[in-house]
Amino acid sequence: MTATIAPPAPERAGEALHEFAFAGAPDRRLFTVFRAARGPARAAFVLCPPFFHEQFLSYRLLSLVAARLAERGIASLRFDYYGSGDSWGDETAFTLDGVFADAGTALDELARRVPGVPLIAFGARAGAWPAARLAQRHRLPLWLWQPLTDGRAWLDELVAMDARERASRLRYPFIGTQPKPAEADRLLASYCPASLRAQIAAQSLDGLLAEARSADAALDLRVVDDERAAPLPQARQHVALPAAAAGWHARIDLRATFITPPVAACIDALAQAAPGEEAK
Amino acid sequence: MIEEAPLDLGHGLTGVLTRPAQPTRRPLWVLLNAGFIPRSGPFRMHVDLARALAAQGFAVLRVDQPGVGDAPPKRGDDVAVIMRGFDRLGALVGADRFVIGGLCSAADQGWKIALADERVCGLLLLDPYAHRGAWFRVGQLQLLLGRGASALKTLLGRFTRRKRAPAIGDGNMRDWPALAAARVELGRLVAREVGVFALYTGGAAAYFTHRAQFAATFGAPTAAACVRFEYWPDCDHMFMRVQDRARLLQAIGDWGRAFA
Repeated sequence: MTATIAPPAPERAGEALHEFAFAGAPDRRLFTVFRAARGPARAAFVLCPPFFHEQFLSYRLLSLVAARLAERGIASLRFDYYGSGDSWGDETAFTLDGVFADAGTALDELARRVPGVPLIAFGARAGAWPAARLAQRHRLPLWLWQPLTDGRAWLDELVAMDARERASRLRYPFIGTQPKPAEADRLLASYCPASLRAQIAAQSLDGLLAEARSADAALDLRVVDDERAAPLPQARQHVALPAAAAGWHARIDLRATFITPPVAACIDALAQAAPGEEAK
Repeated sequence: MIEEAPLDLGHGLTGVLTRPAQPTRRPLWVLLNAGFIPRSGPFRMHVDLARALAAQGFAVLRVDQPGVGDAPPKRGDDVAVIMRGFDRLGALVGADRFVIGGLCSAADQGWKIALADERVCGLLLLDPYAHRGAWFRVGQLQLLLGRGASALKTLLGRFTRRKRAPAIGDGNMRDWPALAAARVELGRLVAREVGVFALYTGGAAAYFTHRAQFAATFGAPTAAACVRFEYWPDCDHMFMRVQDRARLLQAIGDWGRAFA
């Protein structure tokens, strides 16, 4: 289902058109942003976003990534999981099973919008997990941006970060001598009960990629990651993201996001790997 | 039952409109970006607030301003862009009065828009401008003393440390009026009977540490019936804790009843 109450703005000079819409079943409406390619689309990707606070921390970056790829002939559909971002649902409705289902809904919506165009599964941070599942199920090329390889390790990072924030005198100057108490079922403000923590802890990108490889031995995996990170052995291409552009997820604040020339080069490397580039 | 739909206001303004099921003639709320955080707000604060206000019978637009979220880069005067957005909201959904503002830079922008556009009847200011002044120093002292023994070391350090260049802070990053102008401007808003809700958190401790600062900053207009002020020193700037967000939604909802 889509719903708009105003026609999209006319295309602006230098910017590809994007359109907001809700998609999916009436009882599970997902907020989507479709960005058309400039000119005929040679490929299109569905972008599975990061989870929790990393969703809003990464939002502008991923919007700019989509905009730059659109200028290079690649359409996209970004979306928010049910219970997150602008999608419907209370945050308590956010589950990992829901995440995987929502990624499938978003892929269907993208295929509906650009019929016949080669599709790509794209995941950022924890969004790598549903993207890998999409790649496996639909035999799609897979692009990953700073993927999380180990759910348990990430959970440990979040727990440590949560403790740091609760004790931070920058965040709570009037805190006195004791940190703020931990909140039941929450991590860094996001709802994360024991059941969800267990699901996250069980996630392994290696495992998901092995499944994808078993479905398609020629899995086309491209990874943009921190230049300090070990390259994924399964990747056909590893694009080194400058460390200065890779640390956005490590702090709960948000500064202005720009696509600097080195980051633009990373995005362009993905564009060159997209289907249809060889034919140009 | 509430409805949500994407809304393109043109001029780079894109957002999501949350509406009650029944048409309303109440003022439409416009939640501006908190700094560089996209329209859903920090930890989805704007989504929760929009839905809570819609349940009270208000329509609410959460919107990306130029340079934030999905909006194109900033090109000119954001105040003019929002005012043209008001025009379009009037044409699209019949809104002719607005409550505007939000957190941090959204409060700064809301302030300027409220002054520039008489269609604004309510102004939500979360961690807005304040002048430091003497009360700030009193608050700082109280803050340090509350930290126990470590405060003495901090205080001694301040007197013995070599002077360094001042750090970049809110005064450099935010779009604030001069002290004298702020007083006059609040007076103008009060004269128009604009409802103002100013809430300061502990997260604003770099420039706000004592509740007396509010009156010291803005002067006599702060005593007007249409001005509400609260100070929550235990709360952080982004309302990270769920009980702080719940308390915020409750406080804004209570204040919003004045516009029903």
